[in-house]
Amino acid sequence: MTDVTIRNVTKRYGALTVIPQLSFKIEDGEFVVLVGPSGCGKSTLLRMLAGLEEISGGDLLMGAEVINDRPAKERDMAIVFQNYALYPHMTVAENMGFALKLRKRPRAEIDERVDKAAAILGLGKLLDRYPRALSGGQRQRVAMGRAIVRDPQVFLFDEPLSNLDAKLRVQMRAEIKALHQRLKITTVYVTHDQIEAMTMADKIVVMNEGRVEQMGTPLELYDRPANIFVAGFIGSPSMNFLPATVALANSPALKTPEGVELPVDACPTLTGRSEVTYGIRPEHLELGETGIPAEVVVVEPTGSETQLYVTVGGRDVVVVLRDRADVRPGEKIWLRPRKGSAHLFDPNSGARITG
Amino acid sequence: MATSSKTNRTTRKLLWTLFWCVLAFVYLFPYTWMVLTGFRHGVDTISMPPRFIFEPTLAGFKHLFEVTGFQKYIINSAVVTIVSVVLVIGVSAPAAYALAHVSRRGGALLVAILIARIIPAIAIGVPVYLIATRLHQLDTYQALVVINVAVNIPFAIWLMRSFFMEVHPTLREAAISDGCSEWQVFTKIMLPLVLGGMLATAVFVFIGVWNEFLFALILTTSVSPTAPLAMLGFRTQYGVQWDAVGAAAFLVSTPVIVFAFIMQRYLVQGMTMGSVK
Repeated sequence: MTDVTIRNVTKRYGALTVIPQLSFKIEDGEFVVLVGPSGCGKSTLLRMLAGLEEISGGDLLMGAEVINDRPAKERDMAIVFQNYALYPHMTVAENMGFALKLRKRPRAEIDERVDKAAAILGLGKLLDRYPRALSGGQRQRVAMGRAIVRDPQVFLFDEPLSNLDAKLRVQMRAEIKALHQRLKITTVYVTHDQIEAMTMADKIVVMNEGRVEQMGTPLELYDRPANIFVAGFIGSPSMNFLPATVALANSPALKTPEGVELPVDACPTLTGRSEVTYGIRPEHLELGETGIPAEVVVVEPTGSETQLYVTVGGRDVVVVLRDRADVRPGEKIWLRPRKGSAHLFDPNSGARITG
Repeated sequence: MATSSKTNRTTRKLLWTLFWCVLAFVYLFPYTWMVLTGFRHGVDTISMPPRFIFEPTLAGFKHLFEVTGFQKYIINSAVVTIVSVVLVIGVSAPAAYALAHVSRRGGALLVAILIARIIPAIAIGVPVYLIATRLHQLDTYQALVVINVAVNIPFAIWLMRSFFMEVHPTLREAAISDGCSEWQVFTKIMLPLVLGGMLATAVFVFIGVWNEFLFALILTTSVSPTAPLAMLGFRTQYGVQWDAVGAAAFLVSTPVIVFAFIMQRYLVQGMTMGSVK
């Protein structure tokens, strides 16, 4: 096991810069999730770590050692691909033992390690099967087994659950997390699914256009998003954003351009500003007797919660209520933000401005 | 109503069967006639009206082996073909793999390869002859092998590249991450997966080289002429020796037909590559 440092790493394809300059550290034994929209550079970064892509600048370090020029096969990192990339002409056991066979390990040791990994993943009865005779979930486990058998310093996962159905995805998510807790191997996991990121990560790195937007624990990102991008990306449904102006100079009272008042907690940093973006998570809005006036458009009861699509001064807002609500489309309601839950952002830079 | 639709179906079935029978006849008759020619006397072949009932004879085959020394032509063909196929596949397989998976700038090379294939053989006949003469390689196996390999490599690379492209690139990356060198990826992962395609390519190259006539005619005289050239010798000033022609054609075509028949499955795979998923 080891820590991994990404220091001023850049990636260019000809004139196109995919990753301008990236720096962060993955601690020993940590489960780090790289999350971001398609094309944000997260998979490219993972492939650079694995040695499958060259880096155009900067340094990659394992521990204190720079590994920029170390070939993929000598990096001691095991990668699990989205499409599993199992060798179709090899049985499950051969797939899992392939890396050890290449290293010319004794037959007995290969068998022992394959059996051990198969036991961890519940693949014992499938060892003689070929990949074509396995289900999606089983293939995914074999791909993980192939990585475990190597006992690598770092695990790399490239959107490994994308090809599974929703139910299996939830199950495999828990299995991967449990596996990490058991093996404690440094893990870098790439996904575009923020739920996966929130549920699995020790640390989330939110990426956008090749840059790190914010890095931190899942709850840090949820509670204190650094900018509008992160605020909108983390959390489901996404945070509501409303443009607002400071109603009275040096006062925290806010109004939307349509004149709707938005209650906020006292905040001295608003001094001197005239315009802000007001952000509130759907689950942080409650029904009240007073507050923000809204009109119900759609009601979606899911059993455990009720999702309301409403308009506030003509702008769309989503509300998630934990309790059942007896409201109907067209009805006028009042929304009360939970205390301390509003987020304010600079409308130009998108950066967070509340303390 | 039901009876009439059943009758219609039967009629349609019958017409189709008839159509395929006619087509099979059109395709098979010339070959069958050629084979029969090998087993009858020359006079029976040219008699009018054609004689389908005749007294079988092996005179044509006897003439082939005892008078013209046909076995030499067959051996020459076998040597040139086998060596050429092995060399073509040996060179094309790694090249096709590299063009499909490793090289990012293979496009220009692929076009160049295709151009090499487009040039008509007759256009390079004279230069090839002159080069072979200067290098004192006229009438040798190696001259024939070199030209056959050169002519068939472009086709083999193009065909095999399409087979390699069918293998998902992450398989190569997984293998590299597992510890494979590029050569090991090629031998341990890719080759087993494209074996069918490789055999199909080998069959196509085999047929191409075995039937090759023009360069054999240009480059050989008495030492290394191949079987197709032997046919020329049966047109003499006294007429065509039909029995020998038939026997030779039968012997020359048999290996190709047997080989293609055995490899039928791979051939179809090769021909439908990319068109069916």
